[in-house]
Order: sequence, then C-alpha cells, then structure tokens
Amino acid sequence: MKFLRGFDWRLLMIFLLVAGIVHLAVTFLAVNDTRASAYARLAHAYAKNKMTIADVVSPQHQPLPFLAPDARYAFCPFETAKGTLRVQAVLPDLGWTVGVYAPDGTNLYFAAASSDRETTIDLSIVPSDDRFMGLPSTTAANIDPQQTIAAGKGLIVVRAPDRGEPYRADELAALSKASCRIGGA
Amino acid sequence: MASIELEPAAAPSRLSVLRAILAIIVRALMVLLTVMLAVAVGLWSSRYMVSRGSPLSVSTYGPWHQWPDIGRESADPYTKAHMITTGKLRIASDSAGTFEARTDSEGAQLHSSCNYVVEGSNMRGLWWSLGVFDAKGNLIANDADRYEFTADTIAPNPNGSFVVTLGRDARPGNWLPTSGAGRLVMVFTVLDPATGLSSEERGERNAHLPIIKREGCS
Repeated sequence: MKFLRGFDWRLLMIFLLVAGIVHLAVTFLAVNDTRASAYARLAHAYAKNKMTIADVVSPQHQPLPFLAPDARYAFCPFETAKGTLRVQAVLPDLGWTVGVYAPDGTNLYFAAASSDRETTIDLSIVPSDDRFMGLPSTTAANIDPQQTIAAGKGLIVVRAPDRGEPYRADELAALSKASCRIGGA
Repeated sequence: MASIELEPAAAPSRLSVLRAILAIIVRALMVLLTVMLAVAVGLWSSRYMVSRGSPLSVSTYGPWHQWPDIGRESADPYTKAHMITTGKLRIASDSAGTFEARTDSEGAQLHSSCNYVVEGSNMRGLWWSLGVFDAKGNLIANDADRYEFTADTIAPNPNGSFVVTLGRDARPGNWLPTSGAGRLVMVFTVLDPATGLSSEERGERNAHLPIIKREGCS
C-alpha cells in the first residue's frame, strides 16, 4: 500500500497515452506506406498493362518474399487511367488461379480452376470513376457486368502450379495465353 | 493603537533552493524517461503486431498461424499493414488458406540445425503446397533445387496422407533441404475448390493441418 501511495499515477497516464498514440500512428503510417508492398516491387520490375511471364522462382530470382516456386507466375501491373483493361486467361487444371490485387494487397477478384473442366476468364477492369459515377464509356458498352470490376491500378497475377518437368512446356503454353491490355477486344 | 510587529521572512537557504531545482530536474527527467519508454513501447508493439500478429488479427492452429482477414477489403489495419510492409502476395482467405509456422508442434523455434518430420493428412482433392523459407522469406539455396512440395509433386502414402522431412542431410522420400538457413518459416497453402468451402468445411480443413515434429538437433 505504501508503494501504491508513492506511485505517480500521472506518469502512468502519460505513459499509456503516449504509447497508445505512437502505436496507432505507426500502424496507420504503415498501412499508407506502400513502398515495400508486393504491388510496388512488381510494378517496378514488370511492364504496365502487359502480361509478363516471370522467370522461374529460385533463390537467385525471387521477386517477392515468401513466394515459392510451387508455381509459374504471370504478372500484369495495371493502370486504367487510359481506359478499360481486358484480362483473358485459361485455367486448364486444378491449382491454376487468377487474382486481381489492389496496391494494398486487397483481393479485388479471384478465380480458381475446377478439377473437371477448363475455366476461361474474360474480365474487364474499368476505371473506378466510371463505375462509381456512372459515366458513359465507349469501351465498357459490351462488358458483362458479372465479369467487370472497378480499379484505378493494381496487379493481376496468373498462377500455374508446377506439376513437374514433364508438364512444364504445356503449362508455359497455357500461361502464355494469358493477356491484359487496354481496350482489348 | 495596537501594533503587530512582523518578523522579516527568513531568506531561503542555498541548500533549499538547490533542493527545489533538483526536484524539478528529477521530475522533468522522469517525465522525459516515461515519454521515451512510451514511444519505444508504442513502436515495438505496433511493429510486433504488424509483423507477427496478435489474437486480434491472427488465428492459431497448433504451430500454424493464419491472418484470416488477409486480402479482404474489410481487413483490420494490422492485417493491411502486414501485407503492405512484408511485401507478401497472398490469396484472400475466402479463396485459400495460407498458414505459416515458425515453431514445431511443441512450440520450439524451427531452425536449420534441427531435423523435422511434417505429417499431413489426406487433403481430399484440394490443391496444396508446403514450402520452407528462411526468417526473411528467402528461399534456401540448395544443390537439389528443392524448395517445396505440392499436391502434384509429393510422393503420398497409399491412404493419401503425406510425410515431408526437413533437414541438412539428404534423406529418401519427400526431403526439403534447410542447410545453413538459421531460423525457418514453413508456409502451407491450401486452395479452396472452385465451388468454395463452407465455414464447416473450412473449420474441418484447419483442424487437420500438418503436424511438425522435431527429430533432433546437431
């Protein structure tokens, strides 16, 4: 009790207040600092609005941390400022996926292949302003609303699971069919 | 007329002035120290909760940790900051389960000086991969060019379960080399089927994640 009477509660309050403010400030600064994000790293390394098949992931070529060579990847960093982006890909077998990511890593769209049939992806990414303000767009006229998402910029990732050497040529051929281009028909 | 005689106040001694100044300095130092400590704790706690997570943002299944809101629009600030600052590219947990382990099933840190056996159950047609990295997420260079096993490349047991061994020295079967990496991180990814998983099915999957046993260290 003597200890409690001598304890300076005002210092404890200062400690909790400052620690809480610093904790929240640092966390929210981290949320808004996208310099080290996957999008920032890949947008520097790959051409915009073009699907590029990445080299096989290896210790010498690992574009992102914790990215395993369990798959071959095709990346397309995109910006829709100049118009609608058309994304097409074929997912022939189980494990194949297509994902569209916002710069902060949020999954805007994701599709995985089913085991019993080939899945064809035909997706349009419209500038987010068009979507939310309802502005007319010439390129958006023939877009299936089920396959349209709105995003200003982000990253498209097509993932082809590595099934071993005998399958690699076929996987690469299927992966090379993936595309992303502005106003593509 | 009565008069009151006032005695002149005694001038404070030098000692008492010094004591008062010292008390102010000590007080200021205490406040400064408290603020510095608070800044350090605020920084450390934020960094820790962003890099490793906490029960607020991470689910734990044995040695495996999952950020359940990863990739979601509605993710909490810790999850969003984790994705952004680590540079990871993760599939949203609505479409896949991505689990990381930094310890074995007994809670000891995974380290390349030890051998491990990872025992997984039959994943019932789901595509999965199991990879091993160093603590920074780098692949571990090795002559065998082995960095992961997947549902396609594993040699499974007759009942569909699988065993993967981790260690420095080559072993028969599904061996992943870990030589010289220091602390290890294992990543287990399971893709949901194209039709999705119900929350019960997801719970069932999470309850049967691989067990990590330490065999021995050198």
